[in-house]
Amino acid sequence: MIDQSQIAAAHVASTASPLKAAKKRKGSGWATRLISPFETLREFTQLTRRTGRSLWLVSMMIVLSLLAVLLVVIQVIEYVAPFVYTIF
Amino acid sequence: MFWSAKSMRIRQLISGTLSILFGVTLAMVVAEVGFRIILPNSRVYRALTPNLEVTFNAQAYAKGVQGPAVFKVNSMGVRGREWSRDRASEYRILCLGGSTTESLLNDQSRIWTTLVEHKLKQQIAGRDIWVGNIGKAGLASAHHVVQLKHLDIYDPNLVVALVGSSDFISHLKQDSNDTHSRDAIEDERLLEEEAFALVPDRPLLDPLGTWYKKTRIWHLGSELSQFVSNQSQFQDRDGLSLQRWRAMRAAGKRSSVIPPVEAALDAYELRLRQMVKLADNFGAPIVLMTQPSIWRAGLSDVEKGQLWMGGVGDFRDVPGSLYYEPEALERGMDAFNQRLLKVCQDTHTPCLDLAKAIPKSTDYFYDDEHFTDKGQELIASRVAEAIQPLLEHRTIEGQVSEGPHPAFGHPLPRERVPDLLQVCFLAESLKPGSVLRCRRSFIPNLDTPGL
Repeated sequence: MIDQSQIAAAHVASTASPLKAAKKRKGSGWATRLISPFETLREFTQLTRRTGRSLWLVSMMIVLSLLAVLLVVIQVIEYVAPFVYTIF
Repeated sequence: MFWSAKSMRIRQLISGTLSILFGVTLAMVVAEVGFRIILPNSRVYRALTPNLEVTFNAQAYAKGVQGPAVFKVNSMGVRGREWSRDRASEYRILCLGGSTTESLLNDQSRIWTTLVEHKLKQQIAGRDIWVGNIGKAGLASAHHVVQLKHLDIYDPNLVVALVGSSDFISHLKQDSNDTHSRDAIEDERLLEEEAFALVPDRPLLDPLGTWYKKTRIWHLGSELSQFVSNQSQFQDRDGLSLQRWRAMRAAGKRSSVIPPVEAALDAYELRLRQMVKLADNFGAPIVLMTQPSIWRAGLSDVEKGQLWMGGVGDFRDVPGSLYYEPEALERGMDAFNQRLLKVCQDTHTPCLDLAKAIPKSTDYFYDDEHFTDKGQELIASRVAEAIQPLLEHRTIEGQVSEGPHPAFGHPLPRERVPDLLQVCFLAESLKPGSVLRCRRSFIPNLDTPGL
């Protein structure tokens, strides 16, 4: 059963003094922007722990991240050291 | 239905493992698709990385080399200028070889291939001369065989190959015991990947070879692995690698006896014959050249200090490795050069004995066998002298023998036959019948009487 009073309260909270909220966001500035990805990660970790059903997603993200790093490293190597004197 | 705590844990463990495996597999598939989009498949072979341009400043460690030195690859993956759009207006000479052809530390304008282009008459029967360089450090005759199988990429009129050094050095490195490497070198694909900067991908479902080795992920992984294990082999822009390799040799052990070379020479001869045959099948004559080097008995300490090659095993990685003395290296290199001359004699292939033409001095070499700018100039003169008679016949119209030569696309003038002999450098050592066959390698339709 949906509690209509909670929905109303949430609606009031989200619309109350939007200028103030925007100011607050603006005021936090670079620190917020710096932290926000980690916040997202933290929330994702919490979700994973709570549900225990996102292991596949976590492992996929880790593997994709490693492969992205591999791609960058290879590109850098090819740029920095394109000449190899291999005695086959 | 109720599960016991233990069976619940097992169930969770299994589902967790399956979940991770699913995630990893999905990531691999996504990454493979992504890599294939980001790094599109090369549909063609390219000897060098197209449009690569690097400037070297190695003059401090490579005496006699002027810097800064530009290394510039054209859009077709050849160190040289761009081709003409009109193929018929160009006479193409393609130069193959290892590091001594590549001439990494010398400026583009001062390498022997560019100088040959300048030294040859600018036009042959209305066609511009173009000389390209696809030399790459470490490439041996086995790689050149693979390169010659793809001659259609370059469509040359003439092929010039400076070979022998990598075969010899590679043999010394293996010290006649490393059969594993020799097995690997038989792998055509491996040779292709070593000989070319770009190689077309093979389909994943191609029955030849292991499927996972055809994936981009595997390829990137193996590149990283090679980088980690071969760091000592990278050539930096300032020539510091040269200095490091010299220090390794200076601190190494010495031997004046090289391992037996007969088996390596036989394999070398076989590949040279394959090279001649492949070039012949394509319709472009090949000129083989022996490898010059500074190695000789009686090198001064200063000259010896310039050397870094001729070690056993991973001599640039392992301190205290065994290195061969210059006089031993000279004997070994000479054996390879003699075998090349023998192949020329047997197959009536034009040869240029460069090893005899270049003095063994630091004026011409900045290390064991890599050329100073002065050395490049001398080599270019010798090569141009050898090639010019091959081209000159095109300037004489009308005075021709019957039938066009497949390489020159033009009937050859009977009057120019004596000039063509200049490229048969072994003529003195050949029997009269062999001299005739040598001539005939250039003039297949020439009739016997009158010669």
